[in-house]
Amino acid sequence: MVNLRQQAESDLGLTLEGENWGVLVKLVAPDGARIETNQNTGEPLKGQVLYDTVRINPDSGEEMVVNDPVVSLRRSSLSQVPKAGETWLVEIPVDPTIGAPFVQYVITSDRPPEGGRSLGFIRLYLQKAKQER
Amino acid sequence: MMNFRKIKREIVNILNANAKGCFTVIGAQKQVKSAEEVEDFKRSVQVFYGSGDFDESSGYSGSKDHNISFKLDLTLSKQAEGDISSLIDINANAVVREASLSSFRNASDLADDSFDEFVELVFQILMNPVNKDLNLGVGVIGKRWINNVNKDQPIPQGEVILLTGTIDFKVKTIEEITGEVLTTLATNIDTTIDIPDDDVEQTGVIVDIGG
Repeated sequence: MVNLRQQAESDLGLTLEGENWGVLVKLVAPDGARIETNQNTGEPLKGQVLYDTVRINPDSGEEMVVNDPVVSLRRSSLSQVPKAGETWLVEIPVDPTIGAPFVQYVITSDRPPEGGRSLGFIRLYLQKAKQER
Repeated sequence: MMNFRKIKREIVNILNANAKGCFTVIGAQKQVKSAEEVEDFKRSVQVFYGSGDFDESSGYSGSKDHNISFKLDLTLSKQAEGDISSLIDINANAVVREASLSSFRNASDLADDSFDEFVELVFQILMNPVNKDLNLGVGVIGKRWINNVNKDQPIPQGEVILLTGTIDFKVKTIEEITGEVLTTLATNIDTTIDIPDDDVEQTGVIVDIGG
């Protein structure tokens, strides 16, 4: 019999990776390893991707929608888990439609990941990346 | 037109003439700044009259010393940069990808470098001896100098890092008290209401704005 915490962690398989919310995610770890497979199921790695955030404009006080992608992943599905200070490549579809092309982002020390072991998931704040000249 | 308005106009003109595609110049204080609008070489400098003080000892006519502080708000944004093509190349091995990731530059580092370069550009343009009189002829500018530079904290704005700061540009000039006011329209505005069968026509009012 599992306790509530274990059940909550197990439920992440539905809330973050299930067909209602799950979006394909590809990662490249600092050691160069590509992480594209769910360690629990062997299926392609999925996570919850929120593309926009509502912010308050500090000058006018108005609400504004900012393109600020945040990816939430189940920790146990990852063979490696991003740590603060590390640089990872993250690829996500440009929008949550089937067949959408992938775009590249990075996570860097500018905004470290959030989420610990007790929550069972990790939240990644993506930064746009461009090809150096 | 008072000198401070002419000086502000010339600051904008001088910066525009010397920008050479490295930044953009806005001659007003713009409220909303989108991070995408100021990315890379679209970084912007907003020029506006910040404050001024006048010498109280002079009389009610003639000229007055005007000590002006112009604000130059610098705004820019940056993305992270690195060798993405190696990272997404399916033929690349882990060693190559590791090297690409380790050489990635944070957006905040790039924004900091870009800001410092921006300050240097603006400083060198405005303090160039060639621009000593700010194109206004001898005698208008008593003195000009960049008083200080402030750099704000970098802000994650969506997918990029936004960095702002201010240059305080001081100018001393003399303003003449001429009593000149804005020109008004010397026109009658007739608001009489023409009511049929009203022979008296005393409804309404005539407004004479002329001097």
